Formats: sequence, C-alpha cells, structure tokens
Amino acid sequence: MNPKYEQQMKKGVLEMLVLKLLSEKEKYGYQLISELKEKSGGLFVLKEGTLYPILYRLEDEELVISRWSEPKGKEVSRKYYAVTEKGIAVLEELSALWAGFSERVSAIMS
Amino acid sequence: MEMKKYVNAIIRKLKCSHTKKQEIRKWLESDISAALEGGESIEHIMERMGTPQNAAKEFNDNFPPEELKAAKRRRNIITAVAVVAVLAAIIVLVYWMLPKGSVEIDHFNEAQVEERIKLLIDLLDADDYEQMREYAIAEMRTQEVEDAIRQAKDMISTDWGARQSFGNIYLSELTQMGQRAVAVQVNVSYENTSVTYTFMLDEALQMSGIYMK
Repeated sequence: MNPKYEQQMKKGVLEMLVLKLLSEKEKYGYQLISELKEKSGGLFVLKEGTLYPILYRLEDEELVISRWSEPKGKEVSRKYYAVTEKGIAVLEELSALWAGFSERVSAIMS
Repeated sequence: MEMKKYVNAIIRKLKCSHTKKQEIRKWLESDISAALEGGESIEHIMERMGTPQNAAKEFNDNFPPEELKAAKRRRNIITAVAVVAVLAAIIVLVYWMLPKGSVEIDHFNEAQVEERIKLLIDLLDADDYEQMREYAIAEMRTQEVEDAIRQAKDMISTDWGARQSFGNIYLSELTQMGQRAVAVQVNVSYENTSVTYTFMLDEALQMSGIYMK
C-alpha cells in the first residue's frame, strides 16, 4: 500500500492526540514522542520535525502554553507544554467530532 | 560534541527565521539529552531522527507556508547582501593588488594579526558567531552578517569536514578614508574542501570585512 494514505490519516488526528496527552499532565517533546509510540502500540512514531511544528501551531492558536524548566543538577532545561482552557474546549470538540466521524466511517466500511 | 555537530547540521538546513532556528536548536539539544538520559544511545537517536538532511526536511515539510515564504524572502535578501559583500571584497582586493609604492605593515604586529586570524577561523569553524561578534566592528555584529556568513559557508559546501591545515598567511596594510586597516589572506584546508579567506581588520584588530571562496 502507498504509505501516503497511512500518513494522511495519521496527520488528521495528530493535533487531537497531542492535546489529549497534554491534557493529562504537562509534558516535554521527547516524553510526547515516547508516550505516543507506546500508547499507540508503535503506530504513531513521530519524528521531532513533525511534532515541533504541531506544538508551534497549537501554541500560536493558544491551545497550549509552554515553559522552560529550571535545570536540576546535570539535567538540562526542558520545554514543557500544558493545555490551556481553550485547548481543553477544543479537545472536547475534537473528541466529539472523532467519535461521530469514526462511527460513520466504520458503518460505511463494515 | 557529536550531538552538537548533528544538531548544527540540521539547523543549517532549516527554512525558518533565526529565532525559530535557535529555539529548535535548544529543543533538539534538550530532547536528545532527555533521550540519552532515558538510555538511548546517540547512534540510535541519530538513526531514529534520520540524516540531518531528512530531519531538516521533516521540519521544513511541516512548517506553515507563511514561514517558508518568509524564509525565501530572507534568503533572497541574504543573497543580495552576499553579492554586495563579494563586490565590496573584489573592490578591496583589486585596490590591495594595485601597486601603491608602500605596502608595508608598519602599524600592525604580524604575530598578533596571525593569532587573531586563527582565532576568527576557529570561531567560524565552530559556528560560534556569538563569540565572533566580540572580535568584529559594531557594523558587523548583526544577524544579517551572521546569516550571510552561514549562507556563504553553505554555498562553498554543506560538509567541510575537519580542518587539516593553514596555508601561508599574507598581510597587506592599507588606508581607507583615513582609517588604517590590514587585509589578510589565508588558505585553509579542510577534509572535504579548501577555503581561501580574506579578512579585513581595523587597527584594534576587529574584523571589518570577510570574504570566502
């Protein structure tokens, strides 16, 4: 199968998934990449070059906010992202959209 | 060191503003450090992220169109600045090569000039423009100059390799609009290329011009 079909489908839900993971707890980039890979059973293996522009967009749209952590000991400073109230509201809308969307697509496909 | 080299190679190929490049650099270094702390080896991280070309392409493909348009505009401006800088350097070189009767270096200490040139080349090789600004005249401490230098380096080659040796250093003193300066030319060999630098230094040995070919 042409990999672009899978890529396009994934692309459509990435922002929702990132918002969802951030709604649980603030996280930094590498954490998001690792969690997405783990929770999706290896389906979503994001590269930094895909994740960072998504985080930029979400921040521009004020759906997330970021902060650089104070480095502790030998640990380097990390950029943490957290969902804003606006982000939570958008996530709820996206979740509802996804539920309806997947239900109808499944109905057609079954 | 390997991480910095890898990140630098990605950053050089990004099509976005300098501010965003610096942010991405900080992000990448921070996330790579987190991955190393998590037990991943640097080799595995680089394999996962791909070659610098591919990693940068991933970023560029995901930047919004307005970011790419702005980057293109900036590149055009930088190219224009580079063209002007090259023309200016050619004028200086032509002036330098013209017989002027007295081309001695009475007012500069040759050893000090050579030492400063080697320091500037060390900083250029390390892409340490912040430190280089300390050794440049005020007019050259701008983002445009830094971007033009990066662009010029990339135009020579995107992978120079490690420095191998310095060639002979040629100096010539000149006076421009009442200001004394020294023009210095040196050929430097790298693993994958060879670069002829021409620097202009003022009386305080601050860099007032640079040309690479």
